[in-house]
Amino acid sequence: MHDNIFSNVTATSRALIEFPIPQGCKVDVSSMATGYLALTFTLSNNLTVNGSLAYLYTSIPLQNTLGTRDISLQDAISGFKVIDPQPDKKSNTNNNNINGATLLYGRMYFPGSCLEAMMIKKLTSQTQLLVKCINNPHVQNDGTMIVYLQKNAPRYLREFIFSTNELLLGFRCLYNLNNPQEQQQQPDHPPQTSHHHPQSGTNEDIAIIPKFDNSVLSIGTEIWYAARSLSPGLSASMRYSTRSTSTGKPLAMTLSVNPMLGHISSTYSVKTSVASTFCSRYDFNVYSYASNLQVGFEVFNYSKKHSPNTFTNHTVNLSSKENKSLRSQGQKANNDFKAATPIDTKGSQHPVPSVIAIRTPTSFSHNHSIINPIEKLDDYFHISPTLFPSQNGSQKTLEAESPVVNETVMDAFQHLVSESDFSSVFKCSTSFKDKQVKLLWEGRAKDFLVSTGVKFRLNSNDLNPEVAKFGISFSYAA
Amino acid sequence: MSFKVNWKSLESDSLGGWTREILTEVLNSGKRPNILASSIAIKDLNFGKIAPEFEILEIGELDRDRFRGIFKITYEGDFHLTLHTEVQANPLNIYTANSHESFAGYDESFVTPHFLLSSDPFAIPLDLKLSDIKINGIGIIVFSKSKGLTLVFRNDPLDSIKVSSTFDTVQVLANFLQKQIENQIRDLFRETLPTLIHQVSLKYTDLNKDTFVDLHSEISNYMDTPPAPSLPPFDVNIAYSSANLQRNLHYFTSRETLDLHVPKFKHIIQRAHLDILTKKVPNLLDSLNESLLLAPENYFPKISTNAVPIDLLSDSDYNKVGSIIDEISRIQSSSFMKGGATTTGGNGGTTTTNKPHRRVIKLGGKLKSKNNKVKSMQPPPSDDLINDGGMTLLTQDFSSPRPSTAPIISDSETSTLVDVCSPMSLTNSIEIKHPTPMRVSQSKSLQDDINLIEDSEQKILVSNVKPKGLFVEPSPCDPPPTISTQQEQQHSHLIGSFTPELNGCSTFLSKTNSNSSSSFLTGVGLGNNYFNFTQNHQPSTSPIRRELAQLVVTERKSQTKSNNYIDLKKISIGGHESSRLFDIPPPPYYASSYV
Repeated sequence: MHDNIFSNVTATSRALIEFPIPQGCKVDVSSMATGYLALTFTLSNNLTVNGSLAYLYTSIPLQNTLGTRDISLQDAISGFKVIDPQPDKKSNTNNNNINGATLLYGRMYFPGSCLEAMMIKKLTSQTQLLVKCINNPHVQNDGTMIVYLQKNAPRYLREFIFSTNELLLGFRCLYNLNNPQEQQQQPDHPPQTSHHHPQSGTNEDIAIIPKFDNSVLSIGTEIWYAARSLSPGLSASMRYSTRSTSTGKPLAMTLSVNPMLGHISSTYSVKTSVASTFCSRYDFNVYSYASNLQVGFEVFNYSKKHSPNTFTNHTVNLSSKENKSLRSQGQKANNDFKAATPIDTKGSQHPVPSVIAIRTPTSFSHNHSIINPIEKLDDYFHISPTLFPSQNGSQKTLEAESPVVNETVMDAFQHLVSESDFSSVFKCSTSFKDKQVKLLWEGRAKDFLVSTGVKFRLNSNDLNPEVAKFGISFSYAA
Repeated sequence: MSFKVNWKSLESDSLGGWTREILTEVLNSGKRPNILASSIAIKDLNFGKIAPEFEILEIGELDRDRFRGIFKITYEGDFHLTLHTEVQANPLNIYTANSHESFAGYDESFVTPHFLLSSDPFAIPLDLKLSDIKINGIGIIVFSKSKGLTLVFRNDPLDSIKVSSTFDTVQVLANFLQKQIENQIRDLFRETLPTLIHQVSLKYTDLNKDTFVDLHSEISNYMDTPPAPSLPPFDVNIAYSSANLQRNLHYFTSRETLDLHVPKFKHIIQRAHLDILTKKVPNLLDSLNESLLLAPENYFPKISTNAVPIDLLSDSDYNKVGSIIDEISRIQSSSFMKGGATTTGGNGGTTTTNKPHRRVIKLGGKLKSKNNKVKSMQPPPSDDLINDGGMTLLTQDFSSPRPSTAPIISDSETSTLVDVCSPMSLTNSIEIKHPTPMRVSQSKSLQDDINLIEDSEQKILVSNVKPKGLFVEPSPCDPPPTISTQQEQQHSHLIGSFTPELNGCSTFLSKTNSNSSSSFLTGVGLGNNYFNFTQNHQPSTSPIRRELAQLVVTERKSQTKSNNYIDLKKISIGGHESSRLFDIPPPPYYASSYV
């Protein structure tokens, strides 16, 4: 659902290029009293000593929430937003219980008398109403309220927006264009792969596997109109998100356009390794010829506790052999396979692949050694899931599991990314037109999530670098 | 009353630049509205060729530091101003900027939807030209030196203004701009301009005096005139000392208040007493200097008495001592000789002024005088007294009148000795018996002795001849010397009376005046004794001179030989001789000399 929000089309580039630098020193502490209630307290010295107190109430208990001690950095820090081309599989599981749920949120700022509140009500499984309002005497009419009405389906999302500030009306929608899929999953097995599977049919179709099944093309648009000041707004955007089939590294490209102003913006972001991401963005205006290039990257650092994952004793399927086995064994192998493989990939009818042990160097310095590039004859690589130790990193459980599990490279990569134990991340972004450089370091230090950053800017008058922003922020959640 | 405004003077670069700076600063002051994407810059500013017409209709108040009046200003010239800025053309960008402003400090985007690309900034450059301004206004101008200048418009001065911009093709925008700018200019004239002028004028009021200098320098720079050549710095401290000025002031005021406490001045001599320095009193020393051709200053300081310079005799070469002494005696004898001669009056008794004072010592008691005109007098004192008495008499001669023997004047055999007789009063001479020196008896030996004494001990004699009273600066308590003239005698009591007063005065006065106090006025410095109303006798510090002044008359008198002697011949003649007393005019007032 989150991926479908129109404004998140450029979420990746935003996270990598336009990340915010904390201002001043800020501390926020959160705690979950019960499954229903959470509390947050923040304190900062930006301009003056100010802070806020927030309450969160949900009618359905929140589960699987982790504190800052346990949460993985990838989840806490926005990085590359991997678009799941098949979101249905994951979202179907818990949808039934959420109808009629509400979420209430309120925040009080001090000093001063500013309040903000939010209410989310799930009307149906696919529609929700979101109301946000603030109360601030400094604002005209003492406050503003904005209402979102959203309908979220796997393939599209539509939302209507109304705001009392200048009577703003808006409409946004986003469509995902991907190949329709057959739901042939087995309910008790959570899907492990995300690639499409052809219609169960002839075996001959097995070999014909569409190349772009792991990519998603999303198209969206938004229309705005502020009634009080007669201000219109319009923009459209397109996003193509895919993953490399050879290395499993995801990449996303977006193209956004504002026809009223003649503004065109294009971004390209790729995850170059498990621990690094690169993004670039180019803006251009056809009327004023103003252009800007922005570049950003982020690098994750592994924690000292766990060594980087390597494939020292992992088995990797050779694709060529697999293809042969695929073709040769055919249906007969299918039946055998079904019985033989305890962990079944989603409708996978691959025969038992021959496993070749591959020795890979243990050093982590070369990213390319993580996943051995193997000559690709088809689009699938199978990597044994036993590649990756579980979070506590014990080898024994690894061996306890099934030694050979088919897994695509992409999933493997994704698992690598999600299950790596990172301790900190370093982000950097530049903007050539604004002549500025932003640096941010976020990491975990003793149960706290710390983020500190600095923004350098080249002074336009005397061409001297100066520090435009500097700050540090601590956050703790229990 | 209308003014002619020199508009051409506004074309100078400095004024144009200054106006541009001020305008740019004012236009960009404060928070920039969100509709402007960049600051406002002045692209072109031209004051035009036509000057406004400025007319004062009425003057309400006109004073040295205040002015109030009603004026009328009209302008129909070709002033134009071009501004350049950038306008934000994306309204949603303005929307987000506004909403972010409102929620500054808090989570700004809580109620602001996240626009993907719809709120990206898009700046359009804008050139705005204001021209054809027509101003017709009547206002009140109030100027006060302490509060500055204020002007208030009675009506709306702006008649019309033409606004042209790069958006002229878009009629809606052009109209919008025209209306907005007109309103802004109206507000400018009504509110902004008076406050601005008031603030600028505050710089030039009394409150801020140091800017007066700036104003002057600015004006002079503007007029391109070279500054006036500066005078050399006049350092008051070097030229005058404040203490001296104070003393002068005190001195001056004492003339008005007749304050007797007069400050002392060092190295300063009054103009009335200037002839102390200028008058050349013939004394022994000067004559010696001339004759011996000595460098006076080197040898000895100026002594205004007739003392023999001992230093000269002691320091110089022993061989020369004899010549010096010869010279001294020559001078003295010549002056003695000169003094004996009488001159006719009328020309001034200058030739008789330097009569040396010679005492006459009569030795031998009763005088077997060859002189027939010996009066019966008191028996002369004994010989031993003579020397002492003569001397003491001599010393006392001028100190106080005291009864003494009548002068026994011998013949002029002892021409070296001249009777020194105190002046005798014709009227009451009997009572006042002035001591007269005793004439030495005719014993030649004694005279020779005396001569010898004189010759050899001339120095002693001469030095002893100097009575106390002859000193220039007698002690304040000394009564003044005897009076020579009749008038002096009459005023003797006055003199006596004066001196105690003078005794209380400062030493300046006593030093100058205690001798004669003839001129009280001169003493206090009120001026010279123009009117001679005190007495005719001018005090003379030179003993010779004084004596001579006195002797002028007594010389005549001494011929009568005694106080009681009545010269019938003289009387019978008719006082020819007595009239000689008055033949010689009194010494002029300026002839007095002090030391």
